[in-house]
Amino acid sequence: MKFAINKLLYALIAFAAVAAVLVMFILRELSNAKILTSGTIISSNKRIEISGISVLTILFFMIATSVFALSKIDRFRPPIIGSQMDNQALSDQDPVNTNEYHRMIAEIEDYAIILLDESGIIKNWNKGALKIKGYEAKEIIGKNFSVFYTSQDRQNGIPEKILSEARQKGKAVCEGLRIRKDGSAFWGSIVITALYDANGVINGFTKVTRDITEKRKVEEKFYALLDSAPDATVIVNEEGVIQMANTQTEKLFGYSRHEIIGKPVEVFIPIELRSRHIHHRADFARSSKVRAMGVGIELNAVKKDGSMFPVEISLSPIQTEEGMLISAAIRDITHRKELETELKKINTELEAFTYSVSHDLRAPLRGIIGFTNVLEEEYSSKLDNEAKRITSIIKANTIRMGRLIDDLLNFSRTGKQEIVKADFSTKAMVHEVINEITGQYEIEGIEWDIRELLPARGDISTIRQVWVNLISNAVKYSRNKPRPVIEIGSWLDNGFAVFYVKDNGVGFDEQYKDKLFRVFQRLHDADEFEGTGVGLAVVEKIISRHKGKVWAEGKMNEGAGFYFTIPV
Amino acid sequence: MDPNSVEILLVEDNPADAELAIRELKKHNMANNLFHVRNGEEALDFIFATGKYADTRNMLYTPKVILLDIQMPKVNGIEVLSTLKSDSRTRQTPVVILTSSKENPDIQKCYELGANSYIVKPVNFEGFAEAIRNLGFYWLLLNQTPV
Repeated sequence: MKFAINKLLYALIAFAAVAAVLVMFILRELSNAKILTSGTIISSNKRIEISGISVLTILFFMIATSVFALSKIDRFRPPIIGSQMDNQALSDQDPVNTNEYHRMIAEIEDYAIILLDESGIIKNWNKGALKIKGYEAKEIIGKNFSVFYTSQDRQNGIPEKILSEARQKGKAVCEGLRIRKDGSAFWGSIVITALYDANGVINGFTKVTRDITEKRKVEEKFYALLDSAPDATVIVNEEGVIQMANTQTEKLFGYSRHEIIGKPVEVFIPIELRSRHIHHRADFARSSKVRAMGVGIELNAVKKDGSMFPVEISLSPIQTEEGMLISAAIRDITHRKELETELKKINTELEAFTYSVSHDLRAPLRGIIGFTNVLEEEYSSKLDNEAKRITSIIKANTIRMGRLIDDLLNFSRTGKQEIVKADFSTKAMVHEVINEITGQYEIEGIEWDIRELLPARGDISTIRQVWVNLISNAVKYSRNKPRPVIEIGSWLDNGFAVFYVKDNGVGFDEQYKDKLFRVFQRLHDADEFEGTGVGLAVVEKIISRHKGKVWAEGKMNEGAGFYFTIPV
Repeated sequence: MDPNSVEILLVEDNPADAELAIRELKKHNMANNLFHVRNGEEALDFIFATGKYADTRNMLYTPKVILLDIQMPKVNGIEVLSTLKSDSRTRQTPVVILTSSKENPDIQKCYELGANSYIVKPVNFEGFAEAIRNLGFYWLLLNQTPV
């Protein structure tokens, strides 16, 4: 506090001096300006130049004075000259200031500021000390400051150690649990500074204590949070030096915390990439936005034993009093990578299998149909009617088998095709599909009730397949009605366009509606309605790949409605 | 049959498919100068007059059209096709691909390699005639013009 007052005094003196000079210069410049303006053409540039030089001179003078003043202040720092500035000395010099200074300290509430004698006996007490420690001045003055310490600290001689540190170095800084009068504990942050007499001998100490329990709680919560995170998390400063690391980091990398705190974060990075990482780190410090690290590239980290493993890293900047910190959450994705590789392998096998199914299963069918045809054509005179009926059954079943294979392949392809989204007119698409279906099967007599159809965004070829499947289903299952009616429409619901196709056909039993969208599941006999039970499964797959939903409503002999949604 | 007078070379490993194709073509009197080989390796030997055809064949007498199955053991149709289309002596010979499904992704690959047309099996005359028409030398084959 003493030094601060001195600092202030010197700064004021310096400032006043500079201000005086500044005023002089300005006055002179102003008078110059007058002369110049009245003195006709003399270049105004010159005047500006003169002013410029003047301003520079003033600035130089200001800086020089300030530097001088500050260097003066520095000389009052302990221990050498500081010995003159102890309590006694100050009161000799300036009794008014000393009283004010005492009163000021006594009134401070947020800091306990006390004086100790050279053996640690408490000599005075302020409001802050009362507030933080609970003792009244009269109860505590004359006691040793070790009463604030826990009994364990006292047994371990901590108070003495702190004092002797302050004795040796002039100052001791520490943090720890301290005890209030009522026995409760608080987390204190303490600075003890040695005071010197005129001969440079220590004659006491100032002790400033701050209650940082709240801050400590927040920090503890933060550490607990850090430790509860599923990922290894390290916090580094702007220079990339590790400040904190959680337990998961210790487990993942095989380092103990004290081995890595204070080290550059590059210890986790493969050696060949370290220099590049330092560069990237600087970029991040400038942009400082939450983001994933190395999006789209495979990142690897290095354990203490030198082994590498794939990781995913998410970075977030934290603004703190100490400057910007960066938190990096590091996730070990070894297992995920293994699964991905496995999945790729399975998919490749599945493709080979699908191809094989399409070729190998079809070949014998071709033989059956082909040779049955030969029988029918070349041996028709030798076949009686029953034999001809049998050959036709053979062909029908074989054709059905062929369709099942085709549909199954189609279904498996639906799950693999890439979805390419584009905007399209549902209205145009639906009309096109209706024309195609009615044209293909020469269907007449259906009453089409086409309501409003919202435009949509999706993969045009697969969404078209959805409409083909739903509309041809509606046609198929209502064709036996005397007056088939098919209604198609849409509405908007919570960010989704809902589309539907309703018919007044045979409908279905609602208790089986979960089976509708499963592959090869049918709710009608094949001799009543042809089909393989793949159409709705394909619909379900396409819509789910568009992040939409499908559902159905129906009643036996009264009709069915099929609904699907697409995000808008 | 004189191996140098072959007009249609059928490359097909499945005997049933081969027989059905030959029957169909026979019905339309087109199998007289047809020769059947059972795999891609044999097809290349025949066309380039190598291996077991080294003594009986002159490769200057190329078939007028090659019907080529895609899926075959050892050397498959795609490999045969790419060999034919990358050799200046055989590049001009039309190749019709035989496929078990028109949705076979290999069809696209075959076109990229220079296949002239494709027929979905079982081969019937209509499909074959259509393929020949697509080749633009319908008259050449059907009119049995001399080489």
